[in-house]
Formats: sequence, C-alpha cells, structure tokens
Amino acid sequence: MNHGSTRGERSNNRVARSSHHEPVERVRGMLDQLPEAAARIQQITANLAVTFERSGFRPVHVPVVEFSELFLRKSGADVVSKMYAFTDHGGRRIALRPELTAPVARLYVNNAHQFTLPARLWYSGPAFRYEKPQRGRYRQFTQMGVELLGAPPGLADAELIALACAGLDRLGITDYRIVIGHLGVVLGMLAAFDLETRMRAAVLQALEGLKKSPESAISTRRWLEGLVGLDTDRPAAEGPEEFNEEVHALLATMDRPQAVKLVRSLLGTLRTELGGGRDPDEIVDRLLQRLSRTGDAARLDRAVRFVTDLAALAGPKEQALPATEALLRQYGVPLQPLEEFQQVCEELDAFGMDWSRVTVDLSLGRGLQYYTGPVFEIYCSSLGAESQLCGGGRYDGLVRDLGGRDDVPALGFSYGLERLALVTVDTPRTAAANNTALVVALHPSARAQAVRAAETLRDVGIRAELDVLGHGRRQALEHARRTGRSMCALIGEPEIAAKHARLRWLGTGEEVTVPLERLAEHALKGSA
Amino acid sequence: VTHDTHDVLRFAIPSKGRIAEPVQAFLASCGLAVSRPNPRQYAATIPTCPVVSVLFAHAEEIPGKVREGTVDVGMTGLDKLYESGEEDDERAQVIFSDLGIGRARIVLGVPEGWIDAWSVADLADLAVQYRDRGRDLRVSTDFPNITRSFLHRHGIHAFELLPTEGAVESAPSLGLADLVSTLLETGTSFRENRLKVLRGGTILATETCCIANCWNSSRLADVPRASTRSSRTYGGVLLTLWHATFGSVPRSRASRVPPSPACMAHPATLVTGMPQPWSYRPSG
Repeated sequence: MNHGSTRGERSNNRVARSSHHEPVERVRGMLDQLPEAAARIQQITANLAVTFERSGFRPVHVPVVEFSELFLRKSGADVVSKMYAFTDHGGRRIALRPELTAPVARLYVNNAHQFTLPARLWYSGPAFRYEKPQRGRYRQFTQMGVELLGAPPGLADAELIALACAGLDRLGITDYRIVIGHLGVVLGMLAAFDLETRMRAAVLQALEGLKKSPESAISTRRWLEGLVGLDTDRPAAEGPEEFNEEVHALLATMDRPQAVKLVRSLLGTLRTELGGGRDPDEIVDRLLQRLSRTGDAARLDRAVRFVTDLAALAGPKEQALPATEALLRQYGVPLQPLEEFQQVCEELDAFGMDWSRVTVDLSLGRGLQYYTGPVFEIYCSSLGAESQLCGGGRYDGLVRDLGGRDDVPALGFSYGLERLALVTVDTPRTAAANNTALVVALHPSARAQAVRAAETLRDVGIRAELDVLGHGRRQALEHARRTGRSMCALIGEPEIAAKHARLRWLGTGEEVTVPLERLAEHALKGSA
Repeated sequence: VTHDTHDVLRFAIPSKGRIAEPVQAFLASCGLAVSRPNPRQYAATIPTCPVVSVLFAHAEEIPGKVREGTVDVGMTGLDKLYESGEEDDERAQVIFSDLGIGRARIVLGVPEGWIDAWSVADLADLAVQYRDRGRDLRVSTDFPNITRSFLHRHGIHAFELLPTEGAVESAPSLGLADLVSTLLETGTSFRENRLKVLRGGTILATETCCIANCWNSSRLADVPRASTRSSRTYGGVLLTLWHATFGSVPRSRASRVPPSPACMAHPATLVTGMPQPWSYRPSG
C-alpha cells in the first residue's frame, strides 16, 4: 500500500511555478487515494454505517468550513493551534474543521427544535489539522463517528464504548486494546486544589506529556511553569518603573479601596494613561488581584504530583479502581466521578465487555478541552507509534457552551478512517461485483446496441464498462485481459441485424453468441 | 564576461529596507563590493568576483527564492527566513548568521498603561479574560507566522492576528489592535507609541544571515561553518558560497567553470588554503 508520504514531502520542496512544464504537486501532508485505497475506505464507511444505523443512529452532514469561534470555545489548545484558520472574502474568521464533534453539536444547537432527545447522529467526513506529516498522520484525515445527545451518564457511555468495539469487530479488526478513563477525576482535582482557569486548561493540556516518559514529564513541567508565569512572576525593571517591587509590596498590605486610590493618584501624578483599549478600573482591579495571588506554585506542584501518581495506577480494572480510590482520599479529591466510572464499568458487563483488553487509566486526557466524563481510546497493537484507531467520551457542557439553551448531556466517539484502512482486512466481494465486463462496439453502427448491452448487464449488478477507444476485436480482448475483466461483450456488424452479442469469458476463452435480451442471463450463468 | 548560467553563483541580496545598506557595506568590507550600474535594475555584479551574479530582491522574498532554487545563496534576516517557511523546511540552510549586522528582536509590546501585565503569562491570563467577555486579543504584526506559533507555544490560543505592513506600533493607540508583535531595534518607536515589551516576550532575536539552497544537503554538511572571524573575510564568505554551489560538482563540470584570473582559483586551492590571489582585508 503506497501512501506516498515520502514523495509528498519531497514534492513540497518545489513550489509550483508558472511554467507549463512543471507538474503541480500535491500539497504537503495531503493524501491521494488511488482506486484500491479509496474503495477500501468506502467499504469501511459502508460497514460502519450499517453498524451505526442498526443502533438507531441517523446520518448528518456538516460543512467543512465553520467559524473559528466554534473551535476556540472548547476544542482545546492542541486542536486550535493546528487549525487551518483564515479570513474569508467577507472578513469572517473561519477555519477548516479540525474535528467533527463541535460542528455536530453546533448543528444540534442551530436545529434543536427539530430533534427529539436523545438524538443519535452519525457523520463521516474530512477534518484538517496542520500537523507535522508522518506515517499514518496527514493534514487532511477522515473522521467517522457518532454523537449521542441528551443521554445522561451511565448506560449510554457503556453503549458507545461497546458500539465502538462492535464497529471494529465488524471490520474484522481483532488486535485492539481499549483505554478507559473519566476526566471528572482530574477536573475534580483541579477544582479541589483551587487552580485558576488558565492553569486548569494548561494542566489538562499537559496530561499526556506528564506521563509519557520521565524526560517528557520534566520538560512538560517546565513548560507548565513557564506557561502560568512562575518563572517570570516577579515585577522588575522591565515593567514600568513606577511599579517596582517596593510599590508592589506596599500595595499588597493595603485594603482594596485604599490601594485603588493610591494606584490612581500615583498614575495621575506620573501622567500614565491607563487603558489602551481596556477599562482602567479593570486594569487596577486585575493588578491588585495579581499582587494578592500567592501559592500558585504550590498548587501547581500538587496538581502535577497528583496527575503523576494517578497515571502510575493505570492497569486492569480490579487493581486500578481500589488504588485510585485510595489516592483520591489521600489527596482529598471528590470520589463522585470514580463512582460514576464504576457504574459505567458495571453497565459494560451487560454488553459483554472483554476486560482482558481493557486498561483503566483515570488520567486519560484526550487533548480536547470539552470532555467532562468517561473517556476512552482504542489502539491497535499492530500499528506503530500512530496507533490510535478511535477515541471519544462525554462532553456534557459543550452544547451550553455553543449557545444551546439547555444543558444537554452528550457523548460521542470517532474513528480515524485512514488508520482503520491500514489494519482492515478486505472482505471478499460478492460474485456479481467480481463480474466485470468490457462492452465493445466493433463498428460505429453497433454503438447503440452496445450501450443497450451494457445497460442490461448493469441491471443485473455486473460492472459493465463501454469501450471508448474504438478497439478492434483483438485489441479489445487484449485490453480486457490486461485490465482483469472477467468477460467481454462484442458487437460487430453481423450481430447488429440479429440483435445479438458475442459474449466471451476471458478465463476459459469460451465464446457464445446470444440474443441481446438473454445476454445478462448468460453472463450471470457463465460466471457462476 | 558571460558565463553559462549553471556556472554562475546566483546570489540575492536585499534591495531596500533595514538591512540593505549594511549588507552591501559588509560585502564591500570583504572585498566583494557590488556594482549596480543602474539602480533601477535588479541585476548587478561583483567586479572582483565575476562568477557571482547578484540579484536585488525584497528581503522577504529571498528565502523563497533560495528554497525554490532560483537563487543559490542569499542574504536576508533570520526573521524573514522563519516567517516564510514551515518550521521543518530544510531547503534553505543558514550558512552563517553571526555577522553582527542587522541585529534586532521581534517582541510582544503592550500599551504602557497595562500596569497589570508584565509577562507573557499575564498576556495569557488576559486572553482568557477577553475570551470570557466575548472578544479576542487583537495582535497587530508584520510577522504573523512567527507570532502565531509563539503565542500558541505560550498557551495563548484566543487571539486575532492583524497582519499590518508598516507602522505596526501605532495600531494600539489608534484603537486598531490591543498589542503588537514587531521588530524592536532602538526602541524609539515603542517609546513614542507608549508601548512596553513584555517579559519573556522576545519572539525572535534576529540578525542578518547567509542562506543557501540545500538541494543536496549532504554536500552542505561538508561546508565548514564559517566562524565569526573568518566569515568577516572575503575568503570566508567566498569559500562558503563556492562550496555551497560548486562544492561537489563532477570534475568535468568543475573544470568548465571559466578560469578567472583575478579572483577565482580552482576550488581545491580554496579548500587547501593555498595562497589566494586576492587581497585579504580584515574588517575590524
């Protein structure tokens, strides 16, 4: 299977020039799919669609282009920083969708009155991220998945995990393992430790980095500290001189109205204009708040230690659950998400979950900011570094965040189709689909009859292709053989008047002359 | 003297802008004074070195020309180089960048009146605060690509870039933007527009660099990276340029390089450091 990544990357090295002779190359990180690969994707799509439809999901299509705002709201740093975002001719800030959950949730919000909850929706389509291209990772990729809107936690979470597995089973993929977690545990910790909004987002973003390897943990930690300003937290020479450390220390000792008064009069004396597009009161407020904020370092440190300890407990359910409970008690983190998680596990038993392929990891982060509850990922053991086939989870706040009027508990998952294509075994085609015929008019006057012959073959499910090159008999047979047709229908001058066609099986060389109306019947019989 | 175009080193230098003058002065100090008979023409020569054909181009266009191979070597700013290509684009390689000319920083500047913000982390806090109020920080910049990746790397994701050409610094006082990301050389423009630089807000320390097309990177790997001292010499620059272009050409082709009595010895002479037929002019 040639995914052509090497060539694609190479090709980027040549900017398309205006000369006629320079080939226009494929854009870097994009993937061409030749018929074989495209057919495979189509087959996977059809199989998964059946799986989804049988569980009551209905298809929806959402646009490739959305307002950037849609993803800025909740999709999270990792996705947003890789967005193909631009301003269109009307000055709108738009983006090629980097994922499909937010657009589908938006579709629901915009059309809420047309849905009865719970709404079961499935989708399939391309998404775009400006990633560094590598094997199994392209800048355009295809996501196919489901969203279940209006389903409270519990049974629905188990159903979707089971459905994701059922889809893989239907595709004949067997060597996969599942990682299940619950983001509520980490979210509960962030709230319990009183981390401020941005630090919470940063820790969520850092989850994967903190547990990958010891080196990665160190660098991720340093990044986190820089991100929340622990390395540059003290005002000094580079700040305005009138606000040196002594002033800061002094301000910190005053009560608020006094402090505001002092700052204002100080600035008035120095003729520094507050503002720059911001409200002066807000600036003074934030300054005083900023000065009174202490203990960020300790809080962050505790959060990182918790995440590291939590990640170390990942393992089989029987061991991970009790150990996690002990850890939560030790850190004073709410137990409720864990209880919810246990309930999902119990529900999963009803679906016959094979626990031997499941890892419980309550530090699983997923990299998207909107998840709130149970989350899961499915990996294929036979793929290399980029081995994730599927991922999803619960995002109870998203509909509200996108402007929905009600809180709609919701969850979903999606597969990466290109990854599935790497591990899917082709199922044998049906006999009719294997039958391919080349229909040849050996004389210009035989064309109408050839067209009809092709149509009768197509009617019975045979893939019939008209010869458009005006081949003679020998050339036609040679061409049909070379392109792997199973038969060739030839109509020459003698056949026109009689309304016949000569049907030749390329495998055996057997040839019969048959009336046009019985052509399909013979074609089917001969191939059987 | 006319040369087969393949045997000429195509060398691009900035036609105007901040570093145009210093680059020419630098070349002149190396004994490579550029002669441009008609200031309206984009082609020029270096009389002391006839195998080089000089092309005047906009500094921001030079990295692209080097990458696509329409010129072999170019001098431009690191800022222009990084702004114009993907981070892992290795088609244009920096041969040397320590000439000490055109030094400046691309920095994040916010209004002086933002007394509650002195670091990039503060800016990230503000971005969240803005977002909660339904708008995004507007950043006026002439380096959108470098700025975008810097902001994302520092946890700032909700922002709107306003690509601006010229007078970037005045955007906040005109109410067109909240902050700026632009070159800081002397700081005058920042002071005049009442902007201050954020701590940790240096996006890039830039200076003039010499870049070469690396269609054959293995060959470039052999180029001795010129040290500060040697790159300030005629020999150092020329050696590097020569290597980058003709370093591993087949002998037959190398021998077709027209012998130039004044300046061009056979490359082997350069490599072995044999006496060179041009005058050595250290430049301070």
